[in-house]
Amino acid sequence: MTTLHDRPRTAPVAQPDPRPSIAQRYAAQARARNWRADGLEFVGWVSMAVSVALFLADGGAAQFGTISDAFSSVGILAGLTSTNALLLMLLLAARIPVIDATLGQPRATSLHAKLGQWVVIGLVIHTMFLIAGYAMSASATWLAQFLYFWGATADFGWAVLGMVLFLVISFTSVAAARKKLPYEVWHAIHLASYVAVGASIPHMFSMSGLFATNAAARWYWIVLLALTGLALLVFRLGIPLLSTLDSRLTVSRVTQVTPDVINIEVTGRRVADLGARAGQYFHWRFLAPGLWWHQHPFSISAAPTANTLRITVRNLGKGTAALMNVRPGTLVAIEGPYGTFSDAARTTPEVVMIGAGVGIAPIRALLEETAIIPGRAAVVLRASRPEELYLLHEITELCRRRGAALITLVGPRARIDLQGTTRWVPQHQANLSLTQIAPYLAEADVFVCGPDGFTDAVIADLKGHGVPDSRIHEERFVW
Amino acid sequence: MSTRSKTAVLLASAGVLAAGWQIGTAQGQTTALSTDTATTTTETTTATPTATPTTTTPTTTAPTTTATAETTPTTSASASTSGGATGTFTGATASNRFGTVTVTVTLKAGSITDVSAKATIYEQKSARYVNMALPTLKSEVIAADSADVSNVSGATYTTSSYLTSLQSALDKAGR
Amino acid sequence: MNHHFVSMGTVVSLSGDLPERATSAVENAFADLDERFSLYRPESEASAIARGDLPLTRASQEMRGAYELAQSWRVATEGAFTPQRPDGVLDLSGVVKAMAIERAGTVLDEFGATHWSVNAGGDVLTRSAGDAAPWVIGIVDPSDRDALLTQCRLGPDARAVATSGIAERGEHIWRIGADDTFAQVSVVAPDIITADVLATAILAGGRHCLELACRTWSIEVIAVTRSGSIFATDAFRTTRPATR
Repeated sequence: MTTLHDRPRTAPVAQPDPRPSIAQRYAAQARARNWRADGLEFVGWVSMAVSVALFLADGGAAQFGTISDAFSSVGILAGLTSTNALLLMLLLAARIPVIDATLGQPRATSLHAKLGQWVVIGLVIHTMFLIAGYAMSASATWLAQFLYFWGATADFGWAVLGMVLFLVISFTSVAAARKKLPYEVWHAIHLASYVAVGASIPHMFSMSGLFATNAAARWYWIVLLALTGLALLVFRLGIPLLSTLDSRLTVSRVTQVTPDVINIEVTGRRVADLGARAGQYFHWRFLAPGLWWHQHPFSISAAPTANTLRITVRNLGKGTAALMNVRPGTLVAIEGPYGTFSDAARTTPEVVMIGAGVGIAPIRALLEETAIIPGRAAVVLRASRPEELYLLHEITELCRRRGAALITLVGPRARIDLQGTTRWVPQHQANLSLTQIAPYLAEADVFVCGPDGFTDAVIADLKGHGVPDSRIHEERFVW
Repeated sequence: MSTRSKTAVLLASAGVLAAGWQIGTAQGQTTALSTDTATTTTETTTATPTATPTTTTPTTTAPTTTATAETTPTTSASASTSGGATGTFTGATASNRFGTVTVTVTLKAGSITDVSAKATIYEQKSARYVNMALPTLKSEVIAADSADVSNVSGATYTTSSYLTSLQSALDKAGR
Repeated sequence: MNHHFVSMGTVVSLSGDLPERATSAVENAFADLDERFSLYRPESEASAIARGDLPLTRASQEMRGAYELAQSWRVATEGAFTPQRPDGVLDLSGVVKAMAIERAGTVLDEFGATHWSVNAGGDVLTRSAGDAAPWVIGIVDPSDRDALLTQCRLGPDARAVATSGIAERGEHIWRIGADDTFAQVSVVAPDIITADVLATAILAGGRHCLELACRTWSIEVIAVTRSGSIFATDAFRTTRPATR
């Protein structure tokens, strides 16, 4: 069943054309964001160069004369660069506002994962080559040299523990392994990376010639480690705690949207100070028995008011099932706001929003806040059954008011189309093309939110239409 | 990442690496004449051929070689061929990852007559690193070179067992 | 330049640049201490104390000083080194030889010698002149007294090496408990008394004492057990230690 809802029939009253000023604003915003992204990547790459340069400044270039020296030097270089990359990984996961606002969560996570692969390889090289280098210069076996270090200082034992932990973490993070593990288990193992880093730090200072003899290098790494630790403390623990304590959010109203979907309104003070933009998400923890040990990422489904935030939650089992019975008055702990699924990511005046399932929620919020040029904006809602078009009344009203076209696509999925690609549209509309809905698609910002499979298929479709990466904005959640 | 920022990263990284390289090679030059001893892999670097302990005897009375009073030990032996520096110059102690090496150069009329390097093994250990006595294979024990040995340490010999000891052989040879 | 003489039941060898009258001053230093402390001379002060004729409280200042030194080392080595013999007799020979060597060194310094070694029965103290080659001391192989097990170099921070063993004089070191696994222990230390005392203590006290000594003092050790196993610190090993 396809329904084309109201297209604005009457032209708006003659007004100055808003398009140029909107275009200008968004272009400036996009430029600033690009500069920031470039800046972050610049810092990341140059920091790697600095770690190598410190090695050179200590006379490292001359340490390749003999085979054993060369092996040791390769090992040292691998250790230095891996440590630098590891710190970058931690910073990416620290939820630092500028990183979150510039890169967004999906991109930061994929960068983190990519760096992770290199770090593990680098650490293995570090271990193998450095011990080999020392062993060669003493005409001992690799194992004998390893055992020597093992017996010589406890710091080495701790470093070995750190190495083992890193290997375990990387094995469990490989896609195949991760699918088999429950999320809580995977997450707990991943948290052990803090232990791994801590265990590795002592040997860096007591067993390294570079750190001990060269005062500048020693202080550089101490400062780097300290700053990273500080960033983690402040942005992962400190600020969320402060936000929670300051805003004193409690559940104020729970409304049933459908039998398995509720709206939870949360009220507190100084909500505006949280700085949430429509479409962003928080990590929510409801402090009630049975609920407090689950933390959920939910987008707000309406623009924030002076003292209220609203989320829309669907019962998907596990934690969300318990949430269906949350009572007004429950205290709420938050972390956030996070995400680039908001007006801050806009680059052009045209916009298309495509949502499915409870992914409709952030789109509903965005619709309230983002600039819309009547006739040059479209909202596409996808559902298997009509009951799953959540918040349809609100969205219909907003579209009518703001001049955006609304298209609902209901029905079971068309698995494969004539060309053999997986489609996201309903079976009976298997050949529907987005450009029929939004002819300006190639120039528009496109926001996509829904389950993984759906989002992947939509994005593939968009790229096929020539929409560039910089104008595709997605949000995914770990279910 | 745009081409603009890619270029910026390349340039900045190249600059940083070049600076590090520069500092590294500049440091290596301050200990003039010591380049190959600084990269040796054994802890105990030994002197180049000429010097044996016996040459120290002339210096007990008065160091005859320090003719010019103003030649304080310099870190770079500026042995100009015209003037012809004479004396014993001790270079700055160079650190490499295995320890410290001090190079001493003896010059006579501008030419190097002797170079010796002394490695200090028993320098101050960091608080964390405890020098434990570990099980060691015979093959891992540092070999003795009887040519260098001046004294022998073993369980105390009596006056009679001394006569057949290694120490008595050394004492007879006047070492 | 070389000179040797008999004292304290062993032979003392001097080497290096030895000023003219310094050697006889060194011999006198040894003789003085031997006279007071030797248990092999019935007329010595030590023998009188051992017989019970002279209470320690009325002994000479030097005697009491040596006794205090030995007692403080006894505490520091957790009893592995002790001046008390099992039969109750006070035997300060452990510290006295070292004291003599140290005194000899002071004498040589006072005479202006800058490069010398004093070797009393296998315990060596050195002084190195700044520009001379360091003193290289060979360590006897306990299983073959004509061969060297290893060697060490002495420098300004580690001027002495002392070896304690069961080989030359027979079983003469009193042991603690049943822990008598070491046949020979050599200790390199900043001074001769530390080296001598610790070599004696480790030989008597075994593995536990070896560990304690390495942890507490800045020394190098090579110890050989009766069955030929070797325990050695960094300076005696070829396997590369970790950099600091």
